[in-house]
Amino acid sequence: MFSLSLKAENISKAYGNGRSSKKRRYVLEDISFEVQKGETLGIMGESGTGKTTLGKIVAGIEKATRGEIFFAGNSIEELSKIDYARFRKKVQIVFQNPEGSLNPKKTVEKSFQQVLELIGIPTEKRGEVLLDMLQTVGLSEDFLCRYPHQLSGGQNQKVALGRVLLLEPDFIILDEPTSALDISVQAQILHLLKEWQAQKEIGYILISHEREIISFMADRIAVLKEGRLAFTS
Amino acid sequence: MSCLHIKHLTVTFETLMGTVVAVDDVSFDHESKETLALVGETGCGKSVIASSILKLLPDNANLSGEILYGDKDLLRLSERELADIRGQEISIIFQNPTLALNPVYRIGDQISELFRVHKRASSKKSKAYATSLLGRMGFKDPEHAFHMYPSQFSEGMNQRVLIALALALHPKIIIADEPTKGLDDQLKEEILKELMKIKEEKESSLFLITHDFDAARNIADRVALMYCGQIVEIALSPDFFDEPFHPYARGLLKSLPSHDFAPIPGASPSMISPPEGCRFHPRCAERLEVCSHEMPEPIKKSGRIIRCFLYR
Amino acid sequence: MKKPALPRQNGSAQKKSLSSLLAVVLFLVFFILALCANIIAPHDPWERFDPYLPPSVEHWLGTNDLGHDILSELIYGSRVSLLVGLGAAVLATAIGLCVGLFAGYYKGVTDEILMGITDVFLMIPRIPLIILLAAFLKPSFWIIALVIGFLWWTSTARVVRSKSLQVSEMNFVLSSKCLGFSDKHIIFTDIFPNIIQIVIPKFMLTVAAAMITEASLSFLGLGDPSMKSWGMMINFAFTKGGLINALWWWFIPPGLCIMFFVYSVVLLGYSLEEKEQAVLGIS
Ligand SMILES: Nc1ncnc2c1ncn2[C@@H]1O[C@H](COP(=O)(O)OP(=O)(O)OP(=O)(O)O)[C@@H](O)[C@H]1O
Ligand code: SF4
Ligand SMILES: [Mg+2]
Repeated sequence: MFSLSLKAENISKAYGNGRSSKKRRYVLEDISFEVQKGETLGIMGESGTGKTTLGKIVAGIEKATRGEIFFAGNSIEELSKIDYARFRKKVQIVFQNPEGSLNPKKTVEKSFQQVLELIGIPTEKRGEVLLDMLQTVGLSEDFLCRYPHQLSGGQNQKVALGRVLLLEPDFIILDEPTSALDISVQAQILHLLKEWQAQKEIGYILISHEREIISFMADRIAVLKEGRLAFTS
Repeated sequence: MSCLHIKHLTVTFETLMGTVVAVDDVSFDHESKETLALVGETGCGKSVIASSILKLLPDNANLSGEILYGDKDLLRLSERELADIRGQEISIIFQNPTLALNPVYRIGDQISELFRVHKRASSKKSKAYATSLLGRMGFKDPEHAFHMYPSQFSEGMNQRVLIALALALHPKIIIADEPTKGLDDQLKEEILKELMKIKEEKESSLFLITHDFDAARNIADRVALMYCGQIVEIALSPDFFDEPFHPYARGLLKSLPSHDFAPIPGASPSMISPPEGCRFHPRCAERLEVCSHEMPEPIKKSGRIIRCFLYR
Repeated sequence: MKKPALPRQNGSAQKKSLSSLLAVVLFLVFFILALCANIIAPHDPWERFDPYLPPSVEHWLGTNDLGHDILSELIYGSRVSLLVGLGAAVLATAIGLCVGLFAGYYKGVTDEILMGITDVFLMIPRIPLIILLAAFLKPSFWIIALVIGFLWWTSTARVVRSKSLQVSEMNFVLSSKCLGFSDKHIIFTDIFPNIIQIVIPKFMLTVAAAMITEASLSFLGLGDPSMKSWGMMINFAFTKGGLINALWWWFIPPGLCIMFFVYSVVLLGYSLEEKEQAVLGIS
């Protein structure tokens, strides 16, 4: 099997008024990296250095000012509709702020059900798959009827993670995935992520400011500083 | 002198699947000028305790017990009386910064608004004050920060704005729900230092909810540990970290990076039908016979309060 | 400005809740009147009695120039007013919602085009245009509702757009995009439920605006004479000598009805808006 990779090439991102170049402020400059299936790239950086922006660009939900993202060798700008749908399914992101990553007007159950429907699990099997997933991320059944604001921060994050795992992605961009969790649950989730990686050969781009987490999880580490990415050994 | 007595506080939520007991008969005192850290598993009810103190809970919540502040029971004050206390006497830094800030107003205006309304300061003065406060929160260019909208800031930056808001009126009690979440180590240190400095200056007390054990160890005087709606141990911070009594505390300390994130086995309990007996017994390595059918009561032991049969 | 540090604060809700209660009661009364007009009204509004009768036990508000019972006319009139109001508002809100949602979600060119169109509509002098149209077309009641609907959607579109812009930046929308949900799915299940709170009060205000417009048109004699709305009643009272002869029971009650109905609708709109603002901090 050929190796599937997710590659960023010369990504730059500027904020501010796009037309007058003077007002532009570059948060990311010429960032390139490549992640293979089954490996973890850790990206470290301080608050406000643009880690989340980078994550969004790599996930294809925000446009870079310059540069391209390649999935399995093809630029995502040029993918055919079918290939784009595959990219969309195979590259996922988990956000830093768990409260915001679930629709406040949907119950946990509905959030899950819609994903199950999307990926075409037959109706009669959905219950089973759903319960499996709840168990995997360590949530009990009685959360299903709740709305996001009725969950704690950590529980929200588990739901968000579970939804993403349902799609069986090849790559997950994890933006501070455990920042809302307490240390024992954080430990649980980190081990869970590792387990999934071993089982399904998922590639992770782990964004975090915590050195310990990065060095525990990552195969390679890069530091984001003043808009540039530097690899450390 | 203790400034906040919480007595038998119980908070339940009605949901379709049953009643969630988020806080179950919790009692503790928060001394004035002290820093009390509340730690515990995600979803165990920490934020709910914080919100109950200012009665900021959603409609499906039922509260019982007492929260005494001076001679007032906060749970029995009217909305009007509470409005005077919130922000001025007791302020809270919420866990989710993006939701707590109003997206349509500039950062600086949101802060200076507080001075204008509560302190009747002139708009020029409040602006100057807001800017200096932003500077103290580690914004390198506070003038610039003043004119930004919450959506233009990263989570970590909004978090700092929220801290500035909570400190603005020099409250007697600062409740901080994971104030340093999402901040990198250096900034975390700076912010906590600033928080402590303001706290010392104004002689306030700090009620710190956190997952960050380093911070708790460094700045807290006492630590309260929570599991599944109950407080299971309260101890002086050095004692707690050097020699935790409760088996859950010992498990937690093992999940730290220094032990390679060894998790506590088993899953977090359901808050609708919590385990019988000791809530922790299904996951406890030191469980005794009684643990599975009898609930340990909190007792005082060598200067701590502990809820576990090992220390009867 | 909302106090930012205390997002869940409810404020002094008591006084406001009283006035919103009043609004609800008033609205319900009119609504029931309109719904059950045929049961409540003492007579058929087209039935002829002696003309110009003063109020009596038989005819509480007397009769008009053609001998129609004024009270019955009034009760049936609530139907017309409500229908025009609701009809126009449903149309206006539907247009405004679609324009706003699409502009806010797709942004860029779509947004610019849609907002350009909105601006054009905003510049149309609505009342003069309607008067002109009505004068030349001698339109039926439904056309009036339609035209009002087509002219009154702009402010809804703008509000919906700015809120959709905001919501579509939120992480859960990004998550949905990333999970591969279709735009349609995202617009209707993620964004729409999160902006509906601001649409409902806007809808109520549009109802009120449409009712006033219809009443003014009818008063000017440009309404649909086959449908006796309150505005039309006042128009008749003026042209058929009700005013000159000081037959107050003919022109005052419809005026009061218009006033109270519009008042209740507007109040309802505002109190819904306020409620939305109070909730904003939580969800
Ligand atoms: N409105 C609500 N309705 C029902 N259950 C709720 C509601 N709010 C909170 N809960 C439940 O109460 C429990 C305590 O929640 P709380 O937010 O206090 O947790 P926490 O200890 O702050 O967790 P974290 O560390 O993840 O922030 C959780 O199990 C949560 O699901
Ligand atoms: S009471 Fe028993 S089960 Fe509970 S923590 Fe103590 S030893 Fe463990
Ligand atoms: Mg919390």
